[in-house]
Amino acid sequence: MLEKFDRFFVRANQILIGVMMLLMFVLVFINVLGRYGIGKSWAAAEEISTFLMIWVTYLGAGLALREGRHAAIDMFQDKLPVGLRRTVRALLGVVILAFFAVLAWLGVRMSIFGWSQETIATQMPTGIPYLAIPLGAIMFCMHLALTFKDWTDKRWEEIVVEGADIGIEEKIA
Amino acid sequence: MSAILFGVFFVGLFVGLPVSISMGLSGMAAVLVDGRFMGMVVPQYLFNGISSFPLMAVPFFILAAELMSASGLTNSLMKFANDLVGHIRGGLGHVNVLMSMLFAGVSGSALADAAGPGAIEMSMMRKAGYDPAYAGALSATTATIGPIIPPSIIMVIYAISDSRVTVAGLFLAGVVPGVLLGVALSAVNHWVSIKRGYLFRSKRPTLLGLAKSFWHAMPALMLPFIIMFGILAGIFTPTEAAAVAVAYALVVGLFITRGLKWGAILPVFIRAGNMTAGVLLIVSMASIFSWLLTILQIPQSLANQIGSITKSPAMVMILVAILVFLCGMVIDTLPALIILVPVLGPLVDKFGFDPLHFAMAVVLNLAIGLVTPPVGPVLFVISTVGRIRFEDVAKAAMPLILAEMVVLAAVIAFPSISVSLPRFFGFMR
Repeated sequence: MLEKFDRFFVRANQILIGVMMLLMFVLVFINVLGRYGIGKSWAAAEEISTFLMIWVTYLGAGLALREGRHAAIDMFQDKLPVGLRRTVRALLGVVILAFFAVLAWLGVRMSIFGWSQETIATQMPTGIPYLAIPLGAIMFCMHLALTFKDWTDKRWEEIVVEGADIGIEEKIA
Repeated sequence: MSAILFGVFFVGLFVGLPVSISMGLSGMAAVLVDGRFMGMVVPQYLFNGISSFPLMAVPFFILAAELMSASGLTNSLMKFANDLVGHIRGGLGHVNVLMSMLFAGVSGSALADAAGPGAIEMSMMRKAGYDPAYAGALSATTATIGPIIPPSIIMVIYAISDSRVTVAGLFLAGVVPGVLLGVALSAVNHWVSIKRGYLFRSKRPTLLGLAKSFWHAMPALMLPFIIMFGILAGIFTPTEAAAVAVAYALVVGLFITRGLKWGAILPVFIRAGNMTAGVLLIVSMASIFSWLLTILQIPQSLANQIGSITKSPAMVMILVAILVFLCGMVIDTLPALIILVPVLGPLVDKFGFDPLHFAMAVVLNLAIGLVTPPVGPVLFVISTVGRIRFEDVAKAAMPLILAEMVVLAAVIAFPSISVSLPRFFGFMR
């Protein structure tokens, strides 16, 4: 059950990130074309795409965690015996959960505060883009909680690196 | 306040908390304990730190490089590099250097080079009979050319943190130092090849073969020129140029090389999105940290302190270089950049440095920091991918790092190396 939810959660999160990236690109590119094609550019495109980038950052941070993309200095903990290292990493995991929980709470307060203000170009409530931070923080906590054991064992999800097949090797004399 | 900020930050770093979270957590702790500011300023700074249209060049450059790789253009570049220099003594080593220079024009990050072409070059060199540690060390050090030859992610972020320089100016400033790095690393490779008796030449290609591989590599080789032309001619902003590069990579992949399948587009965007999250989370978290540094007036006091040691600009430049180098050794490039730029900024004004020359010296210095132990992210990638012991790669990298430091010294001593090209194109303020 939990496993099934996990798979759904990751997939949904991935598609969300992919679509937001795509949208961000389309907005900026069409704006460039528009400026040279029909001599018009759309100020809101710049603003919406910037917000999308912030959403990608915070809503993608949990996925980046699962792939081991958050750079850390592991020199010290790698010197520890395996059992102790696991304990240290478990403690770090709890600290990270606490950090994002507090951040989510502060972020919700900021979004409520921002609901009565308007953004410059699109004039939507500032609270809407602000939501990226509390939402992202909650999702980060969920990703970390769901893979907590992998985090303590420092086991990252498979990152596929495409190999090259160009046949240079055979040509070496 | 400063005790909490620095205490939490360094303890966090030391025990292996991700760098981004170390900065965010120390900033949050300092704000909450100090109590002078509302807790809400924390998410506000995190948000505003990346709420920047110019910053969007970063995800687009990541995307363009990923699309280029997915289209198989990395392979075409590699084949071209091999045909061009593979027949020289120590051939694959030179191919490694040249490939990194060519790939630098497609990608703006050293880690992308190390994990992609760097890993492939390393395995090719090992199969050919090079010492694994040396093969890894060369792939790692050549990857540092990535952020020096434009486009460059750290240069975009530098220009955002420091209004004294422009992205276009920095990009141009990087061209000559990037080529010099390539020459220096090739020279060391030549020397190592003679010393260890490496031959490993591939067959010299026929002129027709060379022309063919050049033609296949063309779409990738064009990319940096499209970006630079667009920016220099004033047609696009750097962010727009990066978006155009993405569109170009899509068109090339889908219709010209046809290596990119329609179904692969969303996965590439997802992958690039995850990478973006990793990079920009650091930028975001660093903004609260560097804001607190300014509140605590660390930059001014550091500038004054350095000013009290020496009055000579040359001495200051050397001191700064040493400081940046030490930071680059122990902290990751990006956080080091975001923390150092506002801290060192006042020195530029105080001692009348050319901002572009100063920026180039810092960027190059930090790029070298990517391969200096104990904390060299690129070395980590190479040692993980190649399953070589970190210490062995680090040791084998020493002469190569030394060569890079010679280039750094030259860039610091002769401003014209970095500044001439931007000046020629009128990008000096």
